[in-house]
Amino acid sequence: MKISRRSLLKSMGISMAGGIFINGVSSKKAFGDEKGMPKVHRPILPSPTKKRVVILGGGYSGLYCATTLRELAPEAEIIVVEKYPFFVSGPSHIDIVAGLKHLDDVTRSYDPIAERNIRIVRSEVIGIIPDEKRVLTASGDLEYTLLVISTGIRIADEDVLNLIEQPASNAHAWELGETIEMRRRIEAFRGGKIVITVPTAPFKCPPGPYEVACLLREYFDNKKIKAEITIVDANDKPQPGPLAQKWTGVLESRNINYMPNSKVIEIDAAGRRVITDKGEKVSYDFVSIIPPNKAATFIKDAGLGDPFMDVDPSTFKSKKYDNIFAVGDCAKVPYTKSAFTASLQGKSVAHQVARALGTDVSEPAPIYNICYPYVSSEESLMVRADWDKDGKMLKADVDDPKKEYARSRAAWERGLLSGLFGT
Amino acid sequence: MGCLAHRLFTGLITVSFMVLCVTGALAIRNPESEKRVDVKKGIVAFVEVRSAEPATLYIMYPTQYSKYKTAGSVDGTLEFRNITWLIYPVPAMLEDQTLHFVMKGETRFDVVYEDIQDRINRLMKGEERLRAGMEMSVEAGINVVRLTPLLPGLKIALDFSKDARFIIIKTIDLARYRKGIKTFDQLYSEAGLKGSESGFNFSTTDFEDLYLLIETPVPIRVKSVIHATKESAESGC
Ligand SMILES: Cc1cc2nc3c(=O)[nH]c(=O)nc-3n(C[C@H](O)[C@H](O)[C@H](O)COP(=O)(O)OP(=O)(O)OC[C@H]3O[C@@H](n4cnc5c(N)ncnc54)[C@H](O)[C@@H]3O)c2cc1C
Repeated sequence: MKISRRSLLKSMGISMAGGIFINGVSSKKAFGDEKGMPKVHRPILPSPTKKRVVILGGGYSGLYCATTLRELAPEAEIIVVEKYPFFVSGPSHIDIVAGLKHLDDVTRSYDPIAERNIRIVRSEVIGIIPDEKRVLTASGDLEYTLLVISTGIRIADEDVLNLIEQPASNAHAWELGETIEMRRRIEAFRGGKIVITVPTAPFKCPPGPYEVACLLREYFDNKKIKAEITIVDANDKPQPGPLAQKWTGVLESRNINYMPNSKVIEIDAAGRRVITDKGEKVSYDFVSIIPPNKAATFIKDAGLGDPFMDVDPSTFKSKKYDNIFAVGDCAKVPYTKSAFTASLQGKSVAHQVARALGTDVSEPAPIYNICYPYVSSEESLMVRADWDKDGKMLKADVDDPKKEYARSRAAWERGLLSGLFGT
Repeated sequence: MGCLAHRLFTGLITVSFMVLCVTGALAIRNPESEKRVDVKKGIVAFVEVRSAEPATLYIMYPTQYSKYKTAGSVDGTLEFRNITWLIYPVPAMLEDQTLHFVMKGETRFDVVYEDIQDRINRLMKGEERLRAGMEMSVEAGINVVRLTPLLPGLKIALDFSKDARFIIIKTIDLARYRKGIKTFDQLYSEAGLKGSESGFNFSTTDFEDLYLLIETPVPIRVKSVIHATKESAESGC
């Protein structure tokens, strides 16, 4: 199906006749009115005079793609479109909720990236028109020669009944604002029932919910605050599946209740309880619902895949368009949704993009993941998985919690950050 | 959602077990109500549980099993109620795994082991492989059965012991149904995947959990069999 400007806007629920306001800009102004639709638009930048690669999302995958591509294709114009003014390291969300780090420890300015002749455009992407090679943003349109989508995941609050209507009832570590709010609530917590709910896989950072539970147990024990912690898990076992046996032992030893195969489908904020698909009602004093993780809706609206973008896992190329790629958490690939694989995917796709620009480059390195899930602030597990170039898992390893892994975790994240920002 | 609305169910089951037996290294036929399954790293075990009467099955990791043995507690264990048949995969991707299956009453356990790499290779070459299955008894009235875990490209075959009216819906519609915001009839009129017969085959297109809502005037048995394909393997089978 070809996606036209009109059908895209229709699918976004935007009526061209009436027009809507996006960031104060009338849609008629932003997209042109109906008669002259394909031609009249408000560009953010003039049309490209040389090959232009537009990267949507300045997270780990997008930035590693941009910086690697800068080296592989020095002549290309590279633009990163990012909705936030600064970079935040995803893995540190856990450290923030546990009080191990502060926001300024884990954020970075985009300036060192811009200094590498990579243009950072701050705007929110709201649509893609593949047939016109055009991205629609809240501030105007942007044309591309090649497009890389790396917008990570979107939290699908709408999949849990009443969550959109009662947003203040929830806080979780899967988004920055929510993370800060969750930390505030943890500091204010004086005892009672804590419920952490886990969505069905795939979601970003599969060990994350169990790490949060373990760190909260440690934090409240240290503060001598009585907390009954329960994990209500939509999955049949703790995630990622291969770590299930280890997690089960860890959770039991920390007196964390575990409810497998129980998917939270509704929140009753007034009654302070969540309701599962089996009809169980679980009471809470403090709830952290992690809603299902999906890719941005503009990917679905552009016909590029749902709930994640359909790509060939060896080239990250769209199954529909030769000039569109997707990497990281938003892509339907067999790799773990993690910062580490996102960074390697970003480097890998840069090679594919450079090739598509006509540059002769070497074969990119295969993807692997290394991860150190916290079981306490001082000890971490270790997991490593390796895939071949087609995305087939080759080997995997896991090790018991160790202090040295908690230290490796800190060094590992610093390494990922310094690869982009130097510090 | 691509829908293969013809009935292949019986054939599918037979083919599945033939496939398993050809690749499986070991088959245990040992009637007992508890079974310990040890799976070596790199292997996936498919545990088949059969019971003449509907019963509750508990699946436990070793620490949970010792708690069950010492205190009788099944807290935190995986529970399947009213089942007469189950195929449960136990993949040992990163390290050896041990699970205990506990079921009251006369139960038969069979375990078939497959090499994970070999399985992935076969799937990638286009073979279809059994992934999971369950048969349970449901009461007269409207019942909910969760079909999970799902990936794009899985083939699901549903079989009912008698004709029944059914729909297959996403989680948010289950929530609306439970809350009384939507009735079975409303959902039936909106649903893409539905019918009034004794079986249904379809393929999944994404990762979202699906629920079978089935309306029957008498108690019946509901069976689901899930096969993995190349497409599901590419999504992280
Ligand atoms: C609590 C938690 C703990 C984690 N722990 C670990 C860990 O220990 N190890 C590990 O490897 N990984 C961990 N992760 C996962 C890791 O953070 C992500 O997998 C990783 O960041 C994915 O990278 P990405 O580039 O695909 O997406 P992201 O890093 O999410 O980047 C996407 C970017 O796109 C931007 N964006 C999104 N939509 C738009 C739009 N419409 N317009 C413009 N810009 C947009 C976002 O603002 C963001 O900057 C953790 C994540 C969380 C939440």
